Amino acid sequence: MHLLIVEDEARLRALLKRLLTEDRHLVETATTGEEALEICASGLRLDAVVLDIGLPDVSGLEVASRLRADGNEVAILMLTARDTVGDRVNGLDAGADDYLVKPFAFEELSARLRALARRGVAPSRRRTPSLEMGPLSLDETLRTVRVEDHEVELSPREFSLLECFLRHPHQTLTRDQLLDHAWPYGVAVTPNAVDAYVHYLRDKLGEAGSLIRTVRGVGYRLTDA
Amino acid sequence: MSAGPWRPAETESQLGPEPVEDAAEARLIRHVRWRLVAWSGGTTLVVLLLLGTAIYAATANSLTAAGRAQLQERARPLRDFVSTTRRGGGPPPTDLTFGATDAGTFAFLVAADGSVFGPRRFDPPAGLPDPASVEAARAGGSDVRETRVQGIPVRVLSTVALGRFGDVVIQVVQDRVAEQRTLNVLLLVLVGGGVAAVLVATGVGALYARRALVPIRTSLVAQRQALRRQREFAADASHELRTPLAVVRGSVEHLRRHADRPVADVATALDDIDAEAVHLTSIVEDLLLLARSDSGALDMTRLAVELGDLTVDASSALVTVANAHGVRIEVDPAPCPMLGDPERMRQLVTILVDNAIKHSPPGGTVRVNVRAEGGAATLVVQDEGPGIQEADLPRVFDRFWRASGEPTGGTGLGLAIASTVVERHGGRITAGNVPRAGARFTVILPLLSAPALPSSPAASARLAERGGSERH
Repeated sequence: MHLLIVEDEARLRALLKRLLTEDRHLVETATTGEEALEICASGLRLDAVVLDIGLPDVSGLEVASRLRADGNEVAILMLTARDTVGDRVNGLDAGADDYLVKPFAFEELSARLRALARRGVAPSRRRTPSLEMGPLSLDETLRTVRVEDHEVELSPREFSLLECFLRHPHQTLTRDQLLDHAWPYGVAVTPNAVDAYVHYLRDKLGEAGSLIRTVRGVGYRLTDA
Repeated sequence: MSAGPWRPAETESQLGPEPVEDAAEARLIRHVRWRLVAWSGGTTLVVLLLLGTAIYAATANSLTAAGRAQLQERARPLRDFVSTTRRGGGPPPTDLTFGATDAGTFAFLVAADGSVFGPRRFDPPAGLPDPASVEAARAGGSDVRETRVQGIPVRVLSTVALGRFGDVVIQVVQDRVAEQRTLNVLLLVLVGGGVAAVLVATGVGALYARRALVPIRTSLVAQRQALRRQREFAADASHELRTPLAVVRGSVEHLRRHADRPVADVATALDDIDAEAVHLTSIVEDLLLLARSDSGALDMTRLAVELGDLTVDASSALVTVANAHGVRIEVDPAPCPMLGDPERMRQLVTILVDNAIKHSPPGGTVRVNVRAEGGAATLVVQDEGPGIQEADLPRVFDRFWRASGEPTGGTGLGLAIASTVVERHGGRITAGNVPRAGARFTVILPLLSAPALPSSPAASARLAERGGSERH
C-alpha cells in the first residue's frame, strides 16, 4: 500500500516507516500538518494516511477536516495519546475513518490499515485476506505473492505495482497513476520506468504475467476477461 | 582513474623492468645476494673437498693394496727357496722378473750373519736392502712399507723365513714410480677440476641469486610505496581533523571566558561545537570505512540488490537536501538485479546524488539514470553545475581531493569511498563532463543475470555516446 505517515516525533516516525517498509508498503512521511496537506494535494495516490493528532503547526483534526473539505477521500487512521470518548468522537467526526490510541501494537496498526484498504472494494472480495485474480494471489498478511501454488520473489517495487493492479482489477491505469501509486513522492521518476518495471514484473510472473494487458497509448490493465 | 588499496604485481612469470629500491633496501639486497653466493660456493667447495679426498684416498688404498699383494706373490718363491734349499740348488730368484704379475720387482736375502744376496744382473740402488725394514721384520716377523731410495719411490716387503743356517730375511722391492705418477695426476685433476667447479658454481650462483631476488625486490618496493601512501593518508586525515577540532576548542575557550554571558551567546558557541562534532563524526566514519577497506577487513555482504529501485529510494531520501538547494532530482530507473551489499550500494548512490545536488545551481536538475545493457548495470548521475576541470579528472577519486575554490564542506572522502565501493563490487567508475552542461559520473557494475528487457538499437547508441565524452 502507498501510505503517508504524519508524525512529528522523529523516533516513532522512523520506526513506523521502517516497519511498514519491511512489510513492503511504500511509505511517505511528513513532520507537520502543512507538509501532509502539501503531499496529499500533489496528486500522489495514497491508500491511507496515518495521522497523529498532536502536530506542531495544526492539529491532526484540522488536517483531516481540510482534506475532506478538499474532497480528498483517502482513508485516514488517526493516532492519539488521549483516550477519552470526546477525543475519539472529535477525530471520527473530523473525517478520520479509524482511530488508534498510543501506545499501540504494530500488528494492530497493520491490520487496521488493511481493513481500511478493503473498504473501497466490492463486498464479495472482503472475505479473504488476499487479493486474487486467476492464478495470481497476493497475501496481504504475509506480504507474499503466489502464482498457482508456488511463491514468486518480487522486489518491493514489483510488489507495490502488483498490489496496485490487484486493488484496481479490470481498470486501465495510466503510467502516471502507476507512478503515483508505486513510486515515492519527491523524485521525478520518468514514466518510461513504469514500462520497464511492468515488463519485468510480467516476466517474473511467467504465464500469469499475460494477465497484465498493455492498453496502447494509455497504460496497463490487470484483467482475466 | 580510481584510487584503491595497492595490490602486488605478479612477478613469478614476468621478469619485467628491474625494480628500483632505495639505498637501504639496495644494501640489504646486496648483502643477501652475497650470502647466497658465498653459501653456494662454500657448499660446493666443501662437497668437492670431501669427494676429492675420498676419491684420492680410495685410489691410493687400492693401488697400495694391489702393490702389496704383488709383493707377497713375489716373496713366495723366495720363501720356498729358503725353506727347501738343498745343497747344490740354483741361485735364489732375486732378480727382476718380467711378464708375470710380479713384474718389476726384485729381492734380497739377508742372512743371519748380515750377508746379502741380491739381484745379480744389475746393480740395485744404494740403500737397499732397506735396513729399517729388515730390522722390523726380524723383530715382528714381517714388515711392509713405502719408502724412498735415492729419491725413487719404492715399496718393500720384508719377511722372515727359516733356513738351514738360521733366519733369513727376504726383502722384496717394488718400483712405485708409475703408481706415484698416477696418484699425482689424479691429485692434479681433482684439485684443478675442483677449483674450476667451485668457480663455476659461484658464478652461476651469483647469476641466479640476482634473478631469484627480483620478486623480493619488487615486493619490497611495493611495500615501501604502500607504506608511503598510508603515511600520506594518515597525514591528510590528521590535517582534516585538526580544523574542526580547532573550532571546538575555540568555542570551548570562548565559553570559559564568557561564562557570565547570556544564554544566546552560549547557544551560538554550543551550536558550533555540535556542528563540528557532527562533521568530525562523519570524517571519522568515512576514514574508518576506507581504512578497513584498505586492510581488507571491510565485510561486504552479497545479497540480491535491485539497482533501479535502490537508486530511486536513495534519491528520494535526498529530496529534502535537494529542495534546500532549489534543485530537482529526476530518476530514470530500470530493473537491474545484481549481487551486492545493499547498505554500501545505497551509500554509493547517496554520495553521487548528494555530490550532484551540491554542485548544481538553484533551479538546476540532477539526472539519475539506471540501465541494464550487455550484462552490465550502468548508473549515471549528471548535474548542471560547473563540471570538472580536465586536469583534475584523473584525481577526482583521490582521498581528500577537492576542486580548487571548493568550499570545505563534507569530508573530502565521498568520491574516494564511492570508488572503493564500486571496485569492491567488481565494477568501474568514471568521471567526465557533459558538453554544455555539468559533470557526469558513470558506474558500471556486473549484472546478476540477463535482464528481462531486450537491448535495443537506441540503447547501443546511448552507450556509444557515453564512451566518447568520458575520461578515466
